[in-house]
Amino acid sequence: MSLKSNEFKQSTKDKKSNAHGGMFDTELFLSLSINIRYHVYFFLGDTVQKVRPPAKSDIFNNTVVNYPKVEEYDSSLAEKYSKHVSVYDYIPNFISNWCCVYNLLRHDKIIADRLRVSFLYEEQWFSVQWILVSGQLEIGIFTADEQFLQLSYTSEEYCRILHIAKHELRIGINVSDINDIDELCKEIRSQWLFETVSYISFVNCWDMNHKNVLSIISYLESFNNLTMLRVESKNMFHNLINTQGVRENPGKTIVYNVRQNVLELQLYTLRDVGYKAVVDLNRWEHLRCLLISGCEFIDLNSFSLPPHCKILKLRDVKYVVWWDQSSLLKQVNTQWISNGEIKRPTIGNDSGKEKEEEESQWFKLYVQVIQTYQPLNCIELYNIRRVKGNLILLKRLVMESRIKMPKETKLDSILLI
Amino acid sequence: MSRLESLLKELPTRTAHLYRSIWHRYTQWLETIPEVDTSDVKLTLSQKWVIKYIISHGDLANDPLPTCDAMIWFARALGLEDSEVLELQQWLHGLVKLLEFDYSNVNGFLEKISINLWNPNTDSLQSKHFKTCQDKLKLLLDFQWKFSTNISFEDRTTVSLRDLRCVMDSENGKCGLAHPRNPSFVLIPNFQSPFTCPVFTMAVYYYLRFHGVKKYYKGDGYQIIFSQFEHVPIIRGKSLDQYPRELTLGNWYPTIFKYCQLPYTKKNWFQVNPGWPQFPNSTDRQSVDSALEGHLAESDSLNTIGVPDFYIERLNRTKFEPCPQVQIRLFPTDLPSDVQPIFDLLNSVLVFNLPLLYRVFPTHDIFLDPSLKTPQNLGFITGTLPLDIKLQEHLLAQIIDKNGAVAELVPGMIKTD
Repeated sequence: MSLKSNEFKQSTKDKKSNAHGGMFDTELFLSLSINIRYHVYFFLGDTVQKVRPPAKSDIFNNTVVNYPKVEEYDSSLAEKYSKHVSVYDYIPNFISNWCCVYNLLRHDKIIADRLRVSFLYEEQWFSVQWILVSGQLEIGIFTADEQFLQLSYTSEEYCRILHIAKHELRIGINVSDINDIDELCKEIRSQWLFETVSYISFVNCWDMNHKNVLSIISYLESFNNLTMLRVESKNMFHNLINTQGVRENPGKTIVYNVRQNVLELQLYTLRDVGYKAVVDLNRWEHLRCLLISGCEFIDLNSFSLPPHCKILKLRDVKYVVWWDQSSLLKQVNTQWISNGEIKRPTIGNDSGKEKEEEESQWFKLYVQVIQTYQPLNCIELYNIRRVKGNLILLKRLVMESRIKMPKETKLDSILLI
Repeated sequence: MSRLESLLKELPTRTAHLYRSIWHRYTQWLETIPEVDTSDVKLTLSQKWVIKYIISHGDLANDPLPTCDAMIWFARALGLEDSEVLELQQWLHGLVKLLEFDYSNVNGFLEKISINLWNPNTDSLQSKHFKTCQDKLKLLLDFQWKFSTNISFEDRTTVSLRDLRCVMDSENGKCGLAHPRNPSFVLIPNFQSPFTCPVFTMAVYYYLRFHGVKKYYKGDGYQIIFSQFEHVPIIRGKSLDQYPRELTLGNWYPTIFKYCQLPYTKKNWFQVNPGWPQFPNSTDRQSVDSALEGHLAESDSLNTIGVPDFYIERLNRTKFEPCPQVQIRLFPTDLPSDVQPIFDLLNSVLVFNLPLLYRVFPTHDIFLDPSLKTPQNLGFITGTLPLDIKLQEHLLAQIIDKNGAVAELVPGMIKTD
């Protein structure tokens, strides 16, 4: 944290900071090796702006952060980016502070380096998106949850920072009220930048009939590098992603070609997934990774995943119902269990028919356990409060940390096989 | 506050910020009004202030939906009764429709139908339905009434002339005809365009209906009706106390639409058109109604019968104007006290606009009446016009059968055949 504030003081040339300790030596820091810088940036997270809007749960609290009053700032910026920042006008001095550091941040070497490192490590510390500002395409650096624009570059500037050519860019588009999708896509088309779009997110967008949704669906096929989709609301999930019970609805659903390209789906704040409903993702045939975040309830029994989907990530979920393995538990011979493991019965010298029988029973069970997880071979749980069910996990995957069970999660029981 | 928290979960983060920002601006505006106690949630969220806030801010009136949604959300979150929330919701949805509706798309219908139904010489209208001017005006009143209020045919049949209230508010410069009970509506005279004004149509029709034209057709007479019948329909069918049957008008409408070469859809004129703005439902305002008993019509500087004036002005597509003073009496002055003001208003509107009608359609049935042929009345009728005839030219150009005076008024448009 202190590093970050130094960084601002450095750039804003605030004389006061020099009173405590020395000035932060930018050149020295940038000369350090990249993995040191990586770890520093890792802890800095996604904040580059001086201001940050409160978390959702704090929006209606009466205590608002007091930002210092700013006398001189470029008020034309507030006008220019009003789509992005005007909703925060209830926080005193928020917008003036935002404007005041905006131009400095654009020339901040450390931030440029952070973006570069993030690009090289393919980290998603920030959400980087195309935005259209007074008719010009710009690249906006948003916080990771995509709600808040911190600063933006023109595409030339951004490519210069990353030392790459324009067509190598991989950035996103957010389909919500902060963008006029139709205008944005027209501009992207006119500059032949379709292949730079790697993900589309529907964060803060839940109305299927919104004109932005209708226009993005008509443009989807043009983005030939589109590999990831992000959906926030239940409504969008059921209309665009979950193919269970969805009829052919040309112009309102995502077409086959696009679904074939998508390798990753991210689902946020859906409340409940699979509660008395089937989650059928089979039509996303090339899906590799599914992320579900910020839910109250997930029932894994109702999932039907496509054959290539190997990775399942669950984050910030209150209650997860694990695959039902109770019938498998009944087949477990109590003699096999030791140290929380279902051990394969050892065949000694007296390999009678009985023993062989037992071994084949064990293998049968083992195959059934594998089948419950098909096609997954990597399951990541993070900040899960409760997992219900008696789990039988594959030892091989747990040992290789391909199944990550956090310690703080409340569990019934775990057996490894 | 827990209700607020659970409702907050439904909102995407950015929308929550937006709502907070809307709330902030709204409460700041409220604080500038001394009579509002901002600590009272109910009062803060009353439709009166919300609507006043929206219409007094031009930028909001252009895009009222986010603000309305936010207000409804707050009404729910701050623990208002469900019925109150519902009421607010209905008001605000009505408001959005009202503000967003573009009358210019449908005004052509009103103008073309109106002017052609006023025309006494419709030779090419080969129909048995429209023999007299009274028949035409009967249909025209129904049509213009529906156009200005968007109430269904069934509701139109239930309105009794005796339940109409005359708004005569010289203090605020307002006059009109109000129906405070369900279906509630207010009609205001349009002095800029008398031919499309339902009040003028009503005045001429009522003259023909009650007074009649001597030697041509007998009027119903005034006294008998008001003492004998409980229900006096706005337009009468075969019997004195009944509205024409739906089948009858259902024949008349397509005839006239065909004559005017306009597309006809029955449900647009016989049912409430959900795409059009409506007067707020008066069952929501029972408290207002009970307070109304005894008063003729409640009107203050902002509202009439509890409906904000801008609603009424937008639906009638004209501004409120004071009732013009006229010297000539065509309607009697000795009617029961509850209906007398209505006929006073009709008298003013009728007399005020008669010179224009005479200039355009001197052969209209009403001028055949001997009481209009007295030297004094004739002098007035042929005297100065209430408004420049040039303003009516685009209207007159839409007449199908251009005969007599009209042909002179619209030179170059004379039919050669």
